[in-house]
Amino acid sequence: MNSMQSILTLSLLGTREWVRLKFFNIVIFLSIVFIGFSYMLSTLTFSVQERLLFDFGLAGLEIGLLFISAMIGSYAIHREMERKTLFVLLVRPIPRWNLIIGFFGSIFILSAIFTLGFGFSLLLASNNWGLINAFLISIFSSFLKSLVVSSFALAMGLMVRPILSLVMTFCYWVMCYSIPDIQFFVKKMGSELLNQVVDILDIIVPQFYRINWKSYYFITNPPTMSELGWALFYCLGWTFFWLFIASFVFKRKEIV
Amino acid sequence: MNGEQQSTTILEVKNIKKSFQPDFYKTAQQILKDISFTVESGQFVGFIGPNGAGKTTTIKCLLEFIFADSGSALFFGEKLTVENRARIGFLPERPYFQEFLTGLEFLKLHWKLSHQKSDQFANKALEVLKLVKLDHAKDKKLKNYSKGMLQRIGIAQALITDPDFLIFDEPMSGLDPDGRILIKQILKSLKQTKHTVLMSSHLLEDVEELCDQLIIVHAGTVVYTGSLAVFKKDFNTLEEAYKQFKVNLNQGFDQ
Repeated sequence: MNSMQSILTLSLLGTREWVRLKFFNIVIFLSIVFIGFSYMLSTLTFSVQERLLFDFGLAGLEIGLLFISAMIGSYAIHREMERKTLFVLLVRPIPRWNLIIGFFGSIFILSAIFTLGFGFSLLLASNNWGLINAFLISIFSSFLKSLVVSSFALAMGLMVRPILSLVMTFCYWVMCYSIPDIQFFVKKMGSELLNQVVDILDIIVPQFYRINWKSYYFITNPPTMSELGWALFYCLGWTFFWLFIASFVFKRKEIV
Repeated sequence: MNGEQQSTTILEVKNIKKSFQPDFYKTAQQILKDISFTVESGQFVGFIGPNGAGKTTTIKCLLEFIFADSGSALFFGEKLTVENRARIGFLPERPYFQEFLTGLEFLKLHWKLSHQKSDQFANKALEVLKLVKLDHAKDKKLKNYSKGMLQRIGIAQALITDPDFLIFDEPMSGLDPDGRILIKQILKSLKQTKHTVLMSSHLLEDVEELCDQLIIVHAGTVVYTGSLAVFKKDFNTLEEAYKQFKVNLNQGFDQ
């Protein structure tokens, strides 16, 4: 109960802090520009207007979420350490893992606000409210992936410099989508060793390509509930795994 | 807490050692060589020494911001735990706080993180804000606070949960004369109410005015621990006594 209160307090504190920073406002501004651009492009097209709007828009949502997760995840704790605001938080009667979950909570809240705001604007632009259920599943899948990415960024942010963590997070995100492509090329190369390496990578890296529902195709052919359930447990599993790693590292991290 | 008749040990530090390795290819430097001392309840202890002697590092080790290589620190007879952290208040050196919060919001944050009952917050906040003379600025954002005000709100956050033991790291460094006078008044009032305080400082006049016990740390080792009155008994001021002590100490090192 006490931990829940601490985590909530820290999450809200982090949310307030990041909302007032330029970075978040820039992401919001670029998102509005992106939706406007998608809308303009779709109206200029003679056919498949809706497809263009959703394909562009949903990709924009995922990129926006990636930026929020990677940036805040990589910099959240480092920022507190740099400004020495962490000292007065650490001296409070809360276990260190509460801080990790609290910082993650603030990314969760910001990502949720961004997803809902962006999604609503996109649906408003399409003016096709009949697609709302499938659309919600699609944006929810992007949100789930952002949770995995942010927990990874948090863990990396504790081990390496934030800029390096940011780069690693982007690479991680790319790799999560690209394993089938890499597998394809490696098979063409005919190297048995590389084949095995990529097969192992496929196991140890989240398979985002299996939940790549950010397109018009999936809006009109929505995934089944069992697929959605699998995506939920799969992403939450990875999120908890990285949060556990982050908490474990932070427990013995020296705050100099 | 504050009115305890019997003296009990609040903090017992034994043989703390700490080394830092700046880079993996460089050899480790031992910053703390042997830190041992005790703080009894009701004492106002001055923790002094030159810059780089290891005062802040010791405090960081005690509060487990960093981890000692060896040795132990017992608060209230036991190792530092999540539970007994609630009995400790801390003001870091040159505090930086969440500047977008108002003074009152900042105190509420620490109140909540200390799991205190929310219905008692208003009274307690008013009490500590009055003590640190910031009741007029409670709704001002921290970014608009002066350095002295930030130091005072820092003391307020340390006091908000009515802790049994207070640790202040250089509470008066970098303040203008008015700010120092105000902080000194607050610390004096804490002394009058028999709070147990460990205060690190390199301002000898302030230590002389406020403290009754003294711990001197030199090059990572505690070289004196005991009564301030005994330490300066043959001298007019603490500064003179300290100067002579350093001369003797350096001669000892040379020999």
